[in-house]
Amino acid sequence: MKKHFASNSATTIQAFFRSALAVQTRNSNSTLYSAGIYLATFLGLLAATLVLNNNLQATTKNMLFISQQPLFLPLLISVSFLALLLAVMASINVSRERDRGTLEVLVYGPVNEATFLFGVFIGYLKIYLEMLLIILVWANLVTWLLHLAFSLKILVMLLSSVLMAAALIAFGILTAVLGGKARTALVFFFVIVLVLGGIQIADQIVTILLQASDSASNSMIFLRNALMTLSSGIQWISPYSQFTLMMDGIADSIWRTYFVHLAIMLVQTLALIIGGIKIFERKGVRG
Amino acid sequence: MIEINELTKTFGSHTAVDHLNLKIQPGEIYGFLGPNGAGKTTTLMMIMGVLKPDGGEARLFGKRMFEDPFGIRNQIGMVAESLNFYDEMTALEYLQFFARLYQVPEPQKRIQELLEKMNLWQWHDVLVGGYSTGMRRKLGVIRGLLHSPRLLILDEPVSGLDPFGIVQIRQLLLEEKARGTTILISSHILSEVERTADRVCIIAKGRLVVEDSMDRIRQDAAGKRQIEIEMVNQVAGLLPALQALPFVTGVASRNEQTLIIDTLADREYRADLGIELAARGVVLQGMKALEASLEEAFITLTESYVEDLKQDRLGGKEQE
Repeated sequence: MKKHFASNSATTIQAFFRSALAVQTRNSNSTLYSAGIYLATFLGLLAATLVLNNNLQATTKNMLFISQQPLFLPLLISVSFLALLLAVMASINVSRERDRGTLEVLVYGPVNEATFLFGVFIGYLKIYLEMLLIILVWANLVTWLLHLAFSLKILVMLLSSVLMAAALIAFGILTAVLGGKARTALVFFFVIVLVLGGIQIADQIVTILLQASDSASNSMIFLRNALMTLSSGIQWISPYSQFTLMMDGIADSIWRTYFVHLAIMLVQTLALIIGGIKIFERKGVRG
Repeated sequence: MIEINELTKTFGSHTAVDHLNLKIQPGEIYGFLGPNGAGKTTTLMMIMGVLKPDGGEARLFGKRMFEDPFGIRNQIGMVAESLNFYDEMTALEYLQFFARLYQVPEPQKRIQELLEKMNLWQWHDVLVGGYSTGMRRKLGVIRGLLHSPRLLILDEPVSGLDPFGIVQIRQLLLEEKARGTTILISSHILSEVERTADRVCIIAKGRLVVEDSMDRIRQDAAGKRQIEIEMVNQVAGLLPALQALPFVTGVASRNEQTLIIDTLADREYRADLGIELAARGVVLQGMKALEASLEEAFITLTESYVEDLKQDRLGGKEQE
C-alpha cells in the first residue's frame, strides 16, 4: 500500500513538472521569438549606459572616484527594469489565458492551477536568465572599453538579481490571480508598486527636508516618523528593497547581510507563488 | 467508465444539478441531452473536476478526479463548446503544444493524420486566428483526439459546421467507437445524437428525466406505437372496426389507401393487426412501424420542465 502510494506520488510529481515544462516552453518561446523583450532589454541597457556615462563624467570633472562599484547603479537600473517588465508580462499572460478561455482548455488536460502558474513562473524566469546573459555581455564590454574592473561582486550581484526577478514575477502572477481581468490585474500591480515605492521615496524626501531645515514643525516630525515606520515595514515585503540591501552587503563585503536578505527574498518568492496558487485553486479557472 | 452518484451543484439559490445519477458504459456513445439551462455543461465541468460539486461524486475509470488528476485527465479528450484557441499560433504549433503536454508518441505523424482526416492539413501553417468557425470546431475535435483518449467528451461538437463537416465528425466518432473509445456527446442537434448514440439521457432543471436506449426513449416518450398500412383495396366500415379493436387507441387516414393506426405501447401489434385486416378482406401493399423521432421524444419529455423553468424565471423577474 505504502509502495503504491509512493509510486503514485512519484508519477504525480513527474506529471506536474512535465506539464509545467510544456506551459513554460510555450510561454518563453512566444516571448523570445518576438522583438519586444529584446527592445526592452536594449532600452534598459541604454538607460544604464547613460547613467554610467554621467557617473564617469562627474568622476572626471571632480577628479575623484564617486563609487567603488561604478557599474552597480547602471546594472541595478537595467535588471530592475527587466524584472519589472517580466512581472507585468507574467501578470498579463495569466489574466489573458483566463479571459480568453484558453486556460479552461488547458485544465481539461493534464494541467491544473498549480502546474499552470508554476509553468508561467519558470517560463518568465527563464527569459530573465537569457536576457541576463545579454546584460552580462554588456557589462563585460563596458568594463573592457572603459578600462573598469569587472569584479566577482558584479557577477554575484547579477546572479542575485535572479531572485529579485523571481519575486517580482511571482508578485505579477499573484496580482493576476487576485485581479482576474487583465486590466484589473495591471491596476492592482501598478497601484501596489506605486504605493510601496511612493512611501519609500516620500520617506527619503521628508528626511532630507528635515535635515536641511533648522526648525522642524511637530507635524513634519510626525510625518517623518510615520513614513519611516511604514518604510521599514515595506523593506521586509518589497523584493526591490531586499535586493538593494543585498547589494549593500555585496558592496561592503558584509556577507552575513547578503545572505540574510537573500534568504528573506527566497521566502518572499515562495510565499508569493504558493499564495498565488492557493488563491487560484480557490477561485478556479473561471474566476 | 463514468459513474455519477447524487451529483449536486448550486449557485446561490439556484440548483443547477440536482442529485444526478448516471452510468456510462465502456465503449458506448452516450448522448447527454437537455434544454438550455438544464445543467449539462455544469455536469461536464464537475466530471472534469473544473467545478467542485456541493454533493455527490463523479468517478472516472473507477477513481475520483482528485485521487489521480493527471492520470485521469491524460485519458480524457475534452472538446468544449467554446472555441478558445491561441490565435497567434499556427494549427501545427498549437497541436504540437498539446502533443507535448499529453506526451503523444510520434506527434508529427499523429497530427498530420488527424489534420488530413479533417481536411485541414493544407492550412496547418496558417494562424488559428484566421480559421473559420467550422475549421476551429474541427481543430478542437482534433485536439481532443490527439492523444487517443479512452474517453472522449464533446460539448456541441457539430455546431457551426457545414453538412460536409458534420459527416466528417460523425465518421470520426464512429471510427473512435470502433477503436473502443467511450464517447459522451452533449448536443442540441438531436438528429446528430440520434444517428450516433447507443444510449441517451435527458436532463432538465438539473434532474434526470430519462436514461435509456434510443428505441426505448422514443417509444416511452410517445406513449404509443404507430403502424402505417398501405392497402390495395378499400373495405367499407373498416375504420370503426379497427377502432373497436382492444389494442387500437386511434385510427387516422392519410389518404384513401393509407392508414395510421395508434396501438398500445406495451408490445408490438403488427402481427395482430395483419390477422384482423386479412379477416376483413383487406389486401395489404405494405405495413411498417413508425418511430417517434428523438426530437419528438425530447419535446414530450422536457416540455413540462421547460414550462416550469419559464415560470421560475418570470417569477424571479417579478420579484426583482
